[in-house]
Amino acid sequence: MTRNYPFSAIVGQDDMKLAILAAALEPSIGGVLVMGDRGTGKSTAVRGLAALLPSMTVVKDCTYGCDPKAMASLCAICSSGAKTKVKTELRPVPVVDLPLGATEDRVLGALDIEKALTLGEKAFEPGLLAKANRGFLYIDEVNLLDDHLVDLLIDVAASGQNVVEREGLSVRHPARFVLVGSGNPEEGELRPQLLDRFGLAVEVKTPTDMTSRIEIIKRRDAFERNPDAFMKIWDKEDAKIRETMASARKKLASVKVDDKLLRDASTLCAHLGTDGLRGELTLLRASRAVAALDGKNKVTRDHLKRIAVPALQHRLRRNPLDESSSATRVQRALDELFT
Amino acid sequence: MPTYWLTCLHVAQLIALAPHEFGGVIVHARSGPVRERWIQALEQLARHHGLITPLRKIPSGISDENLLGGLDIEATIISGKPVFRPGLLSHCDHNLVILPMAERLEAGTVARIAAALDHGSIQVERDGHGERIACAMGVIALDESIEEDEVVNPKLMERCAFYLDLDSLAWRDLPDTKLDAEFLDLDPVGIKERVEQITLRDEQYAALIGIAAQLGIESLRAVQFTVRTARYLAAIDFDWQQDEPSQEHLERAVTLVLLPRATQIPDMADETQAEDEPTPEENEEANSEETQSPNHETDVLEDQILEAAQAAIPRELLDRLTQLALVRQKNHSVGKAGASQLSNQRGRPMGSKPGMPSGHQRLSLIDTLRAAVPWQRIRQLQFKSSKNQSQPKILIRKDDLRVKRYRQCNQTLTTFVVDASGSAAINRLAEAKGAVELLLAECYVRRDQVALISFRGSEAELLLSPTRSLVRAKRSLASLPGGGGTPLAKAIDTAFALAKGSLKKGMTPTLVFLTDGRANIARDGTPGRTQAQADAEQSAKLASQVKVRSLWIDTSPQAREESQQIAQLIGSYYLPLPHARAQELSQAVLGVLHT
Repeated sequence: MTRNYPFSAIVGQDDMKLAILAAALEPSIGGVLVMGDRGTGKSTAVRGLAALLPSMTVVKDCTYGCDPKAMASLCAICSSGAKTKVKTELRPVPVVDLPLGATEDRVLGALDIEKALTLGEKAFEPGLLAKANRGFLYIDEVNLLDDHLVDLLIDVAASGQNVVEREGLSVRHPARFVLVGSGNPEEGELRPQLLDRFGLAVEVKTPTDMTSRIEIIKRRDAFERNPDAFMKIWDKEDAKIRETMASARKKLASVKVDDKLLRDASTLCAHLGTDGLRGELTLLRASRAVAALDGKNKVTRDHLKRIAVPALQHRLRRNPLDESSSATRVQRALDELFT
Repeated sequence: MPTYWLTCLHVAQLIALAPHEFGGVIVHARSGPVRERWIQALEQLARHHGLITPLRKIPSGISDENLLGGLDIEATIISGKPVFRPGLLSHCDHNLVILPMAERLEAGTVARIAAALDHGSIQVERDGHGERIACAMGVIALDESIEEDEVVNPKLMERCAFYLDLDSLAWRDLPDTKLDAEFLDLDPVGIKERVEQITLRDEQYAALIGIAAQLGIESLRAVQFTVRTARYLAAIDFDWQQDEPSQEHLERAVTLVLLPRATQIPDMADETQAEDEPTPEENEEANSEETQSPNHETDVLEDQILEAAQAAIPRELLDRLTQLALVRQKNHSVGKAGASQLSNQRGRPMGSKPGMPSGHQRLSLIDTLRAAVPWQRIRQLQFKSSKNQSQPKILIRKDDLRVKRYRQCNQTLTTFVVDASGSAAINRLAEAKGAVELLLAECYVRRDQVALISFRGSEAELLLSPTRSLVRAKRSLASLPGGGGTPLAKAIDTAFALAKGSLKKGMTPTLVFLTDGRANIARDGTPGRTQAQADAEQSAKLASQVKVRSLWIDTSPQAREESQQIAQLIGSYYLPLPHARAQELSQAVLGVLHT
């Protein structure tokens, strides 16, 4: 098993790191999409995320990792036994890979062939979506994912529930997960419907300044030569982020957003002409997450400005005659409106 | 013995020593004795280092079932239990694998191989089976491309440390002798231990980064490979006992990894000449401030290494490699060739339907089993009561049989042939650009592709090779200049050549001409309206032989007869749209082409 490069040891790429942490802190933001050139540490960052997440309390032995406190979103088995006192256990938050070439039955879940063949039983074998419940579903090369899988994902990501109706089976189970995708935009665009499912979108570029390039190479080389020693050094840094995340999680519910900031968000979205309310909602949620990560009780304009580009850039209508990128357009609007 | 052959052998040695650390080798060579010799040498070295030979091959059209694994039909039926048969990749752990005709690998296959190269393992989630399979492998990608539009997928190139060009070697130049002892005297275990001890000094890291910048290499993976190569070279070197690579090791690493990736070659000779010239004191100061060199020592080291590395490789070969790197950079969307050929048995799986398997229809075992499974208990009870034969494990009836369904989506390629001459006013060019982008937005929902040819002056140029990426389209559209004559004949020739090529690849091309049809440059590039018109008509007649759907949009203020005539000769749908806006243009194209 290969070890993951520590998240904290990634040089620069602050936008990407902030967006990933914000999306991890507040699942209702709706995940993050990381697009960028080859070799910029996209998947490294996402895979490093797993080490930063605290464990979660689940109903003991539940396949779907149900939250004993959230009665509304329990799976069929847990809700049927809800009256009796439930046993709980701690589990790491799942970060599930959806690899290219996965078949539908593995993603959604299907009839357990082994049981059917050997015991004559009709049993449901949960798929990746069940595994990812309350955690993260990571799709590398998201723009190369097969169309039929994209359709499935769009549906489940919207409803938070996976419904399997096949071979006489009728199963529904909770599938609330944070969608994390990465890819290289030169290899093809993402379907607009799928793009819309991502709360935040960041673009990453290869750093060009010498100092950070040297630092990247040095760290990667050190990691490769002796991963254990390298991990030991960076464990402390990772632990710091873990603590920040834990205290931010406690704080998040009490972070306040005042009317002035709401107006700022609306003005910005109206100015950019983003479709629907989703942009504003995401922007506010993300700003709150950023404030919580900062350890603040109140969202300020500065928090909003820091996360506005990832929250809005993929929601702009394409203007064929405007050559500038969406990120530049959001930045321009920010500069114009909030100087 | 040519020194480049020695270089090739060194590469073989390194990749056989540590396949996964170096990712792989891109071997640009046509099939022939030189390539055979190199692969032979490689296999010999691979055996020496404990790899399994002969090396396995991954063919370009490999299915996911064969690559990643799938349900084993026979074993499943015999044992009455699902048996998963691992795919090719699971046999490749700690080994090398050959990719013949790497330039024709499908993008999806490349992505799966790239994932294996990145993580040393692949996650397989197929046919009721989920597993992480170790496959820390290296690839030998045989690049047999001849044409400029065939290149190995950049994603794969990025993950291979070494590029070789064997076409530059002649069979008669190769030595007859077997491999030297130098190659076979190595102790792999000892070397691996030594490699871990070896580190680079900070100046050495900085120098390598600087060299990469000078050679126009952006990716940091390339530098990472150089560092790794330098460390391995130092570990292999018996005479070298220090814990950092020598300058010579760095030079060789740069020669092996960075130089073949160069997109620009800094001319060392020129630079030294410039330095020799007496320069005023102030100037020199200003210069050093401008470059902001953090460390003079680093700069010196950088130049020394680069110079030595360049000297190690023949200039002619270097130029060829640079040319290859440039071509590769230009063509981003590659490896698509053959992705959509017509066949009854390929395409995107669409589930299954009841039916008997036959020549064209393949049995979908898993769905057949699924259909049969719920009835087993009942059927077995029936079976027992009716016959006294031994009981089969599973009872399948004709009704259970399912066949695979594929959707063969034939990709559409819409090529815009845009008149950028002086007579087609600049504002119309802007509208054409707008229309292309609007159509592209429409196209990527359907996974169609778009290309753009512009013609002006004496040339017709393929500005945007077939793509469905908005990013690329925007980039090349932004740099579309206007003005000059109208070489209509050339435009028609170029457009239909592209259309023919895409037909061969199994795509459905459509052409959209946006022009006023006033030809005034003949095919040979000379001005003159009469000859130009005659040439255009001749091209149109030739083009009519290619069965391609096309649309001729006449953008001149008043519809003209010559223009209509050419459209008729080609067999185009003629559409006069004197003041069309981007929106209307895209609507018209969609209306005509999709009815």
